[in-house]
Amino acid sequence: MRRRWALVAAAGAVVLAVVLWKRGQGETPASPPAVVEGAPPQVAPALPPPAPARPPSAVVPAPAAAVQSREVLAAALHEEMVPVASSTVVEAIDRDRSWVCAGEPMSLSARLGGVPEAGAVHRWVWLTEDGNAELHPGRTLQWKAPVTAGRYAVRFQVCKDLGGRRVGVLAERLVEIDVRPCGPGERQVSEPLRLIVTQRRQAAFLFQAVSQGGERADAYAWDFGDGATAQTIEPQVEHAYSVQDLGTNETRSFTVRVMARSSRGTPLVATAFVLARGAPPTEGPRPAELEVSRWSEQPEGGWRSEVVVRDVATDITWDRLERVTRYWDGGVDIDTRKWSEVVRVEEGLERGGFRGYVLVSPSEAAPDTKQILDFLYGYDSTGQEVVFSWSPYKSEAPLMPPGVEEPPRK
Amino acid sequence: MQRLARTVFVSLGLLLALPSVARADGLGTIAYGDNCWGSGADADRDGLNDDCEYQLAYWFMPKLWFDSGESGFGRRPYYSVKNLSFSSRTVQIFYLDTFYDDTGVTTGHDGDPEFQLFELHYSAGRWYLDWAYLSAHRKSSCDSSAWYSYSQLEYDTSDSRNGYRGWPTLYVAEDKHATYNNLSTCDAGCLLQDYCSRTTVQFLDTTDRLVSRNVGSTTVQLINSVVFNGKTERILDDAPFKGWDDQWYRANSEGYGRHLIDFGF
Repeated sequence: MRRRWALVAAAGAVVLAVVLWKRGQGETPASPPAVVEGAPPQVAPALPPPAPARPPSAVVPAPAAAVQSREVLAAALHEEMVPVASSTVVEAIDRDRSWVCAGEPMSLSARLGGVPEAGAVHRWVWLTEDGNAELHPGRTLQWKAPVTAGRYAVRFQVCKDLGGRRVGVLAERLVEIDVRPCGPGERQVSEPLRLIVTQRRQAAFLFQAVSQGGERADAYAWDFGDGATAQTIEPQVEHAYSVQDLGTNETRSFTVRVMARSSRGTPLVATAFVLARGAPPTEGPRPAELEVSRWSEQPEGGWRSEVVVRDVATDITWDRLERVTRYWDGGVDIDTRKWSEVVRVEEGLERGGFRGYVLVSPSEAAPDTKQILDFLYGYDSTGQEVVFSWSPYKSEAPLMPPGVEEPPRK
Repeated sequence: MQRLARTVFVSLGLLLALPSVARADGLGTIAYGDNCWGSGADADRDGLNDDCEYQLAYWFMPKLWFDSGESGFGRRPYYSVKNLSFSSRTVQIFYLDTFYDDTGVTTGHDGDPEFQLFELHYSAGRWYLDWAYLSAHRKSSCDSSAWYSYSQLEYDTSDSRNGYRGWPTLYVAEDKHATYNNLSTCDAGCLLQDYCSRTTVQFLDTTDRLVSRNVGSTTVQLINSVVFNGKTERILDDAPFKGWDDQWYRANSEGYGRHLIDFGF
């Protein structure tokens, strides 16, 4: 009896040890989150067709590049990979670091050469420890390292749909990644300099160099990866990329580097990849380009916004300015004035363009004012009306009121 | 024997002490994977299963924050799904918001054809948002529309079914319905004229869950002429969009056709 109990206990221990070992090695759970609900309640969608068969259980990945053959990957992806002759070349794979701590992200970006092929798409594929394959489209990848240190393989491919489940491989490159065990002081959060990227508008970004401990350097040298550079005293800078030549579904990756110089020590460097994407042209030629700066508070009170009208296509004669005041209670006032009474021109530019500013007085920006809008009216040389508008002031939205009603769950 | 018992005990303790597993990215709620391609009914003949198109559009439908001054919530959203590539397991969803009115001061008009275009892909059991193009006065003099990569978008993960790179949270400019990825870009939008806040939150389709709202495409039209409130809109054509409302004192907007064509739908 004692012997049987011992056998049962031993078996239990082995099962537990296997469970622990597997969990320790896993990157993220392959199963969906605990709360996985079916189709929306108002619809009863037909059952989906059966998923293609899983690859045979013999396909067990190992953290080594050598075993990631194309065939094994194709089986895990439930597809047929077909090599296709092409002049497209994967010239190099750039990375933001030479190795990565277990469980942390790493950025990869592919550089292509040769002749681009119409209809080609880009993807990264790699095997996971549970025998599945991960796929990420695009020329850049933020790859999250498994929690187990070792050498891992990721494959970048330039592909083309060949119909059905056949995927033509035009070019590819295998990348080996060194994943190391790290102590707390070696993690990315402890790096002396990090680069934070925030998008401002189409293809325009704010870059912020964040130092460990919040210490500021004496100067920052920026390389935006498109040939442009900048030197700043502030640890942040904005930059817009030119993407006019990119198609709607085309992206371009830029490698951005910042070097922080300080008299107290060696320079620090941080790198990030920025993705910009082309968009279809939005409209025909504009009558002029308008630039308006966000208002700044004046020492004597009130707010000032810089206004520039340039690149005027045909002569414009300015006529009037409507100042619209919107109040928090929903009320609206419209005040029409001579344009020159509101717009203070500092420099006249060609064909009616100008560089100047507008002011908003403290009384206009009273507490009950939500926003002020300016509409500048003029006429071009054909007599066609031209209107430009902007906002020279808006008050802060109140903090979210408590008890905002959430929409019904999906 | 004692050692074995201790091992079992310690193992059990370690198992219980493991930190809770972080939530996976993307959405695992969609009953289709790469069998979305080349299976089942395909009314718009784009290579994607019709029900898969619906489930993708439904589950990735964005959550929208409206401002306290919003006076034009009314809308009847539609969608279109396009196959980009089986090789990259990538599709695009075009959400036609179809707001009935732009109620902006002095610049309002009947019909407001703002839209969102999402690009997503499938990988190993989950779907991930890769890109979003958010229209913001597109083709106007203060066009502030932009492509945003997934890392520049916000996700409300208070719903346990959503994750980073699942359905995004967007910000809708007061009365004008331009959409933005966060409050800061909205604040700068349309030469600082757009105004957003976190006051009222709704999913894009508040009532019909996008059921039977797949318009197909401009070339294979599943829904085009829509009669509502006794008025007809041709939402796929390059024709004016009046928001099923046609007030004599207000201008109409240009329709969705030109945007759909520009983006290849």
